[in-house]
Amino acid sequence: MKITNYIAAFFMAVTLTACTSTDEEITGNGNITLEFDNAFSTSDLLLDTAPYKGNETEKIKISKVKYIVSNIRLEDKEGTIFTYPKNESYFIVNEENPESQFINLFNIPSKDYTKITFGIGVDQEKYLQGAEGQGEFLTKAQDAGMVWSWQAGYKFFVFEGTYTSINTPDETAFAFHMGSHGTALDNYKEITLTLKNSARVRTNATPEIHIVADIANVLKGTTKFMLDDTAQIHVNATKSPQIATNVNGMFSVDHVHN
Amino acid sequence: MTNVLQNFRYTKILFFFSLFFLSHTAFGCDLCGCATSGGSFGQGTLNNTSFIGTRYIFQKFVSKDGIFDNSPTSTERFNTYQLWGRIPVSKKLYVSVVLPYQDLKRKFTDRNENINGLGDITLISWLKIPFYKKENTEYTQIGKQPSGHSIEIGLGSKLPTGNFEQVLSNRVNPGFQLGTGSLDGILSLTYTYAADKFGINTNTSYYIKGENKNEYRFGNQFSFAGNFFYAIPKKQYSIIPFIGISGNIYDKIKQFNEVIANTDGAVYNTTVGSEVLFKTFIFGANYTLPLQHNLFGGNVTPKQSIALYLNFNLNN
Repeated sequence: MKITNYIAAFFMAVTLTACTSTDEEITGNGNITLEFDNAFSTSDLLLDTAPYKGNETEKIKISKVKYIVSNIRLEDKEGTIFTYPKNESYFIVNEENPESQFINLFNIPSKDYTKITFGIGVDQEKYLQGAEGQGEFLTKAQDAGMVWSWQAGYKFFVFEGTYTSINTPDETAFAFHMGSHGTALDNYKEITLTLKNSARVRTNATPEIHIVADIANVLKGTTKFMLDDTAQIHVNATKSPQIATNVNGMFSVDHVHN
Repeated sequence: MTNVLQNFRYTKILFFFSLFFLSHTAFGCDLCGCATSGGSFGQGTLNNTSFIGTRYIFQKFVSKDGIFDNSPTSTERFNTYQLWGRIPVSKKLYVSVVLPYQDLKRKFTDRNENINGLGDITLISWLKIPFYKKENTEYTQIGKQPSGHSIEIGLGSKLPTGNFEQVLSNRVNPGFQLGTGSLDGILSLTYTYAADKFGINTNTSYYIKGENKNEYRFGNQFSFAGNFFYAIPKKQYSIIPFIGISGNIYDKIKQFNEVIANTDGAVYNTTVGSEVLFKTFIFGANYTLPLQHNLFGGNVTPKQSIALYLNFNLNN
């Protein structure tokens, strides 16, 4: 019957067009984008609006979340590590500025990356280069209010807002500023995250690694911080390292877009 | 009567001509989990007669547009217009064809998206095994009274005739696609029982999804549907109301041979509808409501769907 001939022809046409070669030789460089998406628990972080549940009866309204992301390294499937050029590897993520939440990295070797490492803050090596070595980034950090004027050093993490609790019925300001204290106390820490899906950098494909930073972890992480105990933490040799640990623990990779 | 027959012959030729023509055009890429697989909508009518016709399907979904609890949602409305048919090749062999045109709309809080075009064509060949009434102690298939029971085994494929766009798959609902871009295999088994006044029609299908040019592979899919129907004969026509359940169960999506988390799921539906059977054509309408679902980690909520069809009978 003619019908069957048509069907056979149809199937053949499909089969022929469906055949593609998948072997590819990966060369050249590409780009990658990191998105730092701030959250509070499982909600997208909203500044100055919803009061979030802190510890116990504390309710907080967040007005500022800023942090320095630095020294980005990518590890591929074979375990080879690509280090992004150090001088270009300092960024400020600011919840008030959506653009700052996307970090674009250029000239990355085309590979399938499975791990990412980054630091929060400025390492001692960079810090000891002084104003000249830190160059443009120092200006950027000063403009963003990420430098202590009264203490030579960077604020790695800025977290501000107001809170109320059973003991503090009136809205009261809180501020956590965490950083290294000159050379006396090094609070720079690095985080390595495993990607659920590999980020495939190609000359013609820019993957995006979507990183979530759960700000709730600052108060509820390894160390529990009651704002009623201390609402202002700036330079504190005991509490700053504890905040640094909590900040370190707030990052996770949600997914990778290829 | 001869007039009608000639008409059918003409339509048949036209239908296959258009099918053949389409096979030579527009081989893009795509397919999708929710929108493009016929799934529980089935490949035929209640009593599995031969026909050619048109079918309209409306499906609605609400999807989270983001990764957080408080992320906004988008509403997806899928309109599918199908030319479909079930054409006898021989007494026991049929071919069913579904040729869809997709018009998909998605409404975000701040913008709208619309894609339309040819969807993925489905072709299934069916082998019909009727059972006959018991003679003495043994079932036999030769020339006796039909028992009303029949089984059909279907083997087919879904062709990558609809467009697949990688950028769309990066959204929470990767089903917003004209097609999957893949060549898929379909295994299907239908059991039908038709008595004088009532009958049941059940189908289970398994879709083996292929990989598309983006090295993207939708999860394999298991679909089932069961309908109970009742015939109310009138002078010129019969009304056949029916009620049924159906389900679609999806495996995880893979890309570059890596499993993508939160892309599996299932949806179970109930359907009510009716067919109106005239001598030369069938009009059908049904309404499907999800009873239970968990798609894409709960981020995609299937809402109601509606199907309308008008088929011309090829049996007489």
